[in-house]
Amino acid sequence: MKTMPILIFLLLMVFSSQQVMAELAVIVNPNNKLNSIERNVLQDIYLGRMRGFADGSMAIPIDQAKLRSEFYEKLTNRPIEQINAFWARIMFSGEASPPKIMPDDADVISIVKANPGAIGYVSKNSATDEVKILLILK
Amino acid sequence: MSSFFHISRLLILMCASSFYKSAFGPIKIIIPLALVFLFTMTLAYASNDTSILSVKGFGTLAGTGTDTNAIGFRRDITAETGATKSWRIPTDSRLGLQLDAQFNEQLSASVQWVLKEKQGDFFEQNLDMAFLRWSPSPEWTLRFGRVPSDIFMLADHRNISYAYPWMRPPQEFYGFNPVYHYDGIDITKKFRLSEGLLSLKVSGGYSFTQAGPIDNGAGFFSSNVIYEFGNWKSRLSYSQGHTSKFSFPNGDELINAISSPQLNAIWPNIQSFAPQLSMVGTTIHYSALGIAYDDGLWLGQAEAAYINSGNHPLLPNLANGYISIGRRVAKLTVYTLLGISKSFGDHYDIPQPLFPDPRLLAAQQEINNAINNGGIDEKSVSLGLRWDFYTNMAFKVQWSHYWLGQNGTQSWLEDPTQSPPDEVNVFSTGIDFVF
Repeated sequence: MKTMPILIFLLLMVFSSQQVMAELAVIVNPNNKLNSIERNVLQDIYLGRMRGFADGSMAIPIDQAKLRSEFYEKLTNRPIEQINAFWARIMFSGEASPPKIMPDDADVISIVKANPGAIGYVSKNSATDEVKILLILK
Repeated sequence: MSSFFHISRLLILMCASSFYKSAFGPIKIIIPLALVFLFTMTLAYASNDTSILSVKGFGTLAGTGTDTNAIGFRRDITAETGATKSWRIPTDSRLGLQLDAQFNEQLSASVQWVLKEKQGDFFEQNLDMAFLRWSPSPEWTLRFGRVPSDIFMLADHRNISYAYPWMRPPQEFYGFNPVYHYDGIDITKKFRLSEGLLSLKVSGGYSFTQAGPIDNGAGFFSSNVIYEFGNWKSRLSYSQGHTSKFSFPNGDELINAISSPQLNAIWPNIQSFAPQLSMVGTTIHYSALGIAYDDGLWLGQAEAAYINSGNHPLLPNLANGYISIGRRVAKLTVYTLLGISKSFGDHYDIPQPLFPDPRLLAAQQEINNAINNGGIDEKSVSLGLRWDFYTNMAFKVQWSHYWLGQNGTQSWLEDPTQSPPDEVNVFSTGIDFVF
């Protein structure tokens, strides 16, 4: 009988880790000439180091409230509190401003659709034909 | 909109304050001009779209105490009071507010004002940023106005404790330096190099600082090279400051008096010390090397610097450095920090007056204090803990043990009636936050 709670706990763990393992699509405007993006270039854009695509054009990163922690964990292998501390340095030393935070997938897609330089992330299932997927983060 | 107008009024107050203080040099006028420009543009844009504006902030609420009343501990020499056995809140506490305006993809502006314990002009000295930032392409950035000083690795974010693991930047390395900002320009160029990112930055301008009783104005130039690769970041920098203004209460009277032939008739050779009581004309060279590693679990950082003033007695040549290693366990970070700082000043024998007049002897003592007590000689070991207990908040506790050498306590708040202790324990705990 003692194994029952452990089993339930393990099942819960598997269930919750599946939640975290959802795939994220990194999306850009369909007019963006790129078809893929290197992970280190994406890190530079989202960590305020250099806001440019590999072809030299300006990138405007967009965050979203619902997937922010998950996105940065997948991108950098670091928990969100480390990312927040990192960004505190960047923004309060006046080096760069943090990405604008949108509430959900639909808002991110509408901004990326409207801005040629915008780059964002959404759940893979939400990505529509109106945007171009550059990278899938697992 | 009401918060916007509140901020506008604050900006006007800051401009007015800066205008009244603009007597110390023409470059100083850049600040109010930049502010007015910023304010005008902000207002113009804001009338159409207030979403370009954002207000954010950071802060620390902390208590700091030591095990002695013979000397006061302070983060750096700009603080007017030191922590002793009586715990103090202002030593490590601060509250910063920042207003950012993003006009378009290329042009933005930032104003930051930090409420903290500070000597001198409360509004002007605590205004750490008021600049326009222009990024015509991803590789180039130019900032103009009041910009944060960037001569060492933590120099441009010393107040933002949330950004680093320790309670405060290592005091051996950062304590002697009063410069938080300057009025001028900086230009950054970035390159992708191999898998990493190389940044070159040059900056120049004028800094005016008030620390202790001393007002110091200096023109300076700074350059640094940063290479970031994976979990590593390295930094090499060279800066140079040339002091053009240096004053302390009754300083001119003192210098005039010891230069006068009448006084030298009864106090032979005292005039040779007149130039040593002012730093005007002194060039200070700062060379520094830094390296940082952070893989998410382990973190390490070290910096070393050499400050060459031509061995001016008021800021003798100084070598300093620190090394820190930390390990994260879930939301906890445990760290240790070792710091060392040593100056290489010469000792000067102040001549005796021919007559033991009490006023002359008192003046002799003062000159001796100024010229022979500017040394820094300290070492420390620290242990600390950071706990990221809530989103955008961190709890910290730190214990530091300092060893202080003879004539080595310039970064501390000395009590002229007591000789400084050889060893001091400093305890501190607090909460950092950003919003």
